[in-house]
Amino acid sequence: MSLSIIQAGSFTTVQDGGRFMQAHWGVPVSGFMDKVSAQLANKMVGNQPCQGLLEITWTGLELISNVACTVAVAGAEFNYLVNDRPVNTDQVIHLNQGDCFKMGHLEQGVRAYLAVAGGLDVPLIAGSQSTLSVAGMGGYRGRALRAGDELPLRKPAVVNGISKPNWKKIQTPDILVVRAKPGPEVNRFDTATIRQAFGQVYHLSQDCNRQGFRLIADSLTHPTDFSMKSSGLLPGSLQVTPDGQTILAMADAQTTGGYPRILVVNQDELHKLAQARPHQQIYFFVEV
Amino acid sequence: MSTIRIKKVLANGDCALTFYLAKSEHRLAAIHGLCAALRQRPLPNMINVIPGMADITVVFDQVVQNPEPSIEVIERLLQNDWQTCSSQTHEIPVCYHPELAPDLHSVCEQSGMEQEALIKQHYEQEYQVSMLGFLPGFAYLDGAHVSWNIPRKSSPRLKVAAGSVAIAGQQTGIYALESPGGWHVIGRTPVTMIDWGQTQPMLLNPMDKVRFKPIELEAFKALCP
Repeated sequence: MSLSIIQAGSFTTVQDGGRFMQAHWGVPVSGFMDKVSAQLANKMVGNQPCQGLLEITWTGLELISNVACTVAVAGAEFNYLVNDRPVNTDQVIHLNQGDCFKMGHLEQGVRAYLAVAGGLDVPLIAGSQSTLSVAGMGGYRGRALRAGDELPLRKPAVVNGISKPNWKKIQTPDILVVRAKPGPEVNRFDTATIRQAFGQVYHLSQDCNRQGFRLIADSLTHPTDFSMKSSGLLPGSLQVTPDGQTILAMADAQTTGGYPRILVVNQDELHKLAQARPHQQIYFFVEV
Repeated sequence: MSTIRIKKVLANGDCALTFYLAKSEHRLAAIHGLCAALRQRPLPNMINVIPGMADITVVFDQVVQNPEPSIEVIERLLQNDWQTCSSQTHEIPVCYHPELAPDLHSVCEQSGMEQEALIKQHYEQEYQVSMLGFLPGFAYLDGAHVSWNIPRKSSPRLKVAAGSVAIAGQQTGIYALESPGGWHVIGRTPVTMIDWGQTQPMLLNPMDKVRFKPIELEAFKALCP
């Protein structure tokens, strides 16, 4: 009972709701980057919302199902084909044994989620199926999928499922607005820098992955004589490096950091950033 | 035992609170003791707890409207319930052979120390694990008699072998997993640092004591799993 991976896509990993209560061992939370889309895919096929599924980044995969099962996709909009015929992903997709499921061109967003009814049969490591590829930990053999992999399924099932609500499409506005709060070290910066940081528009750079997003904007004045002891780092923390540049921590970010955090994105806004592409303009709406 | 005081509490985003503890001799022990206590008996809606070097961050699955109840619990735990965590002492074999120590030569050039003197100083003292972080199981070790102070490499190495023992600043670190890394590798241990199959997957835990035992290359190879 498995999915045979014909083409894996550029970065496809198993992710679930995340790995919690392990920070004292230096273990990041990981988990879905776009929680809303991932949970939607799971719900469509009747899985638990935080169950493990595939997070597919930038380029789609192609697989053959070795068993009859129901799947659903949500998140980034790709063209989807089953046995070379386009399928409507507003509904769940029933695959027969031997069917070929293929993702074509990426239309919108960055990360798509493929849930299989009954879930994936990969081990729980420290309580989670999520892959932390930089540490070779969790997921399928601690790494992104490759062509030739056989991804085991737990209890593959054919289910009626539910359809996708109409509104759940990835939007790409000119400026992505995300709500945030002032960060723990905000008062270490001077007033003009804070005003600048909260007022300017940032561009997402090419350097954006599950660990963090480097943002591009006018450089911020780093506090002088700054020192801080390593402190708990949350995904969504905007860290200012000594050269005045900014790095936004994401799901696989290290558990603690030593750069001052000028703002922290509200946790239920993080999913929006998961679908942003390089050059996307981002504005942090900071509620003081 | 001296009392540990909360110095301040700050929001860390909308769903987390960071409790900064006042400086004291037992601050780090209190942080890890408190974290252990909170993992055993989490606060309502708490999903994660992150020990820092001077603070503790508690993460909730919802927006923090009122921090007061959490502050009260933490204050109470700091008054009585945090025990010094059970600290173990480990003797870790390390091979300082140049084959396993790609940065030993450059570190000595940079610091002006003789290789033998650096190695001797490195294994002749006891360290404390101040935290695990950066990546799962990476142990930050502090020793009382450290004379090196070396900035991190300007460009990190893409692949550092698991078990690598490295220095940066005045600290020593042990890479539990193969990973990228910016510290200067001066040796390697054959010991397995992480085994996820165990209920206690980490060999080293915060506040543990560590001593290094120098071994020859042959012994290293014989000890490799």
